[in-house]
Order: sequence, then structure tokens, then C-alpha cells
Amino acid sequence: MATNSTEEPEKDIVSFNQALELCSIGYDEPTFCMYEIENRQLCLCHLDEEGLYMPDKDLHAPTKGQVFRWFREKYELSGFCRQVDKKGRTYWKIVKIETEDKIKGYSAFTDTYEEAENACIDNLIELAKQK
Amino acid sequence: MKKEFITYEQALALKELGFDEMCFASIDNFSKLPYVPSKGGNYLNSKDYERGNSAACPLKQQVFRWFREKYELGHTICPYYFNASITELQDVDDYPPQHEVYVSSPFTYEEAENACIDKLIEIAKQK
Repeated sequence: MATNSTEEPEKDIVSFNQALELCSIGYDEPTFCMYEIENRQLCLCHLDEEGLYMPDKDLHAPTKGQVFRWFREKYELSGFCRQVDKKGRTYWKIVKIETEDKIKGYSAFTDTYEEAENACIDNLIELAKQK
Repeated sequence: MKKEFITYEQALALKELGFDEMCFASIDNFSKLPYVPSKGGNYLNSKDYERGNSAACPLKQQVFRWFREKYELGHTICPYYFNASITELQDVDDYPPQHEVYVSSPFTYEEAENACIDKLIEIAKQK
């Protein structure tokens, strides 16, 4: 069940489209935010006694940290972003954890860290779809 | 989901450094576990969580962002060696000063994240 709309946690939560894609490749971890499918509204959740929420008809809205962790644990793929200057220029790459082999990247510089994070997550999703 | 949150000690240290962003959770010195309000969960200002022994408990990713934006300290964590490096961001990417953080065995990614946050706090306190 959703509660109030959030004010500004979007930087920490994946986008609606990323949440949909993650759902399609089997992401089903507990979250404390969710998207209402009908209107794409990001909402905080009522949590159970253990502080968890498993959406049923709504869409899991994990934090970006949760998503990177999920890819490390499930696919042994590590997404990595590095900001290189004060202006926010950032690149990303994806490595295979066991061997440290580079799978994708080094990317072109993005203007912000958040753009690199989002591009990295999009590419992790694409790699997972190919498996 | 507690892996996503910082520790109680880190929450206190961040409060001393002036961290006052919106947060999903609080943490106290009894349970030392992040607590996300169970009914009508809120995204609250840090000060709203500061009651008694409770402090705001941000996500690790929020903390890393705060250090990038407020102290111009970037970081990376190597998932292979579980070491972290902290970079003092410059106007250009020209051999910026680095701080290496090594986590002794047995290690996990989460331990490396925590060690990195501890080091960021230590550097920020010296600024």
C-alpha cells in the first residue's frame, strides 16, 4: 500500500523505466519505495514488521545502491562510476567481479555523476537480458 | 536492506559534520539498526529524526554524494580487491591527491564501503 508521495528521493531511486526493466529480468527484492503503475508516481511504502515491503500489483522501486548490489550478487557484474573533476564529469565501466575483466566501458564522460549511474544501470540491464 | 545504510557511529559523525539531508531512516544506539518508519513512511529532514539517542540514517549512496558535493571528495571501490580510493576533486582531472583505503581479510564489499565512509569522515574533519 502506498502512502504519501515523496519529495525528492528520485536521485537515490531508479527511474520508472529502469524499475520496469528490472522487474522483467526478475528483480524481486524488498524495497521501501514503489511506483504506482497506473500513474508512474513514486511513493514511499507501508512496511511490514521487519521494515520490508514486497509490492504485489505495484512496481518495486529499489535504490540505485540496491540495484548495483543485486547485479554484483546475482550476475557477478560490478558497475563502477568515477567522477573526475569538480564540474561533475564522470565515466562508468562494468567489470566481471571474479576476473576483473572489463565488460563495458570506459564510457564517454557524462556531465553529472547521476547520468553516469543511470547509464551504467541501463547497460547492466542490457547485459543481464543477454544472459 | 540494512546494507544500504550507514552505521550508528557514522551517523553521529556525519551529524557533527553538518549532514542535514532528507532521509528514509533513523538509527539509535540501542538497536544500532536503521529504522524505516513502518506506518506512513516518510522522507524526512535529518532534524526530524533527532530525538533522544536517535539520529538520521542516510543511505550510503546519499553519503557518498554529499561528500562529492560538499567536500569535493570522490571515491571508487574495487570489487575485486575490496580496496577503496578517495580522490580530492580538482578543476581538471590532473593527478588529484588520492587516499587509499585497504580492508583487511576477511572482507566484503560492504566492509570496503564502510571503511571508505570512515576515511571520508576523517578527511572531512581535517578540512
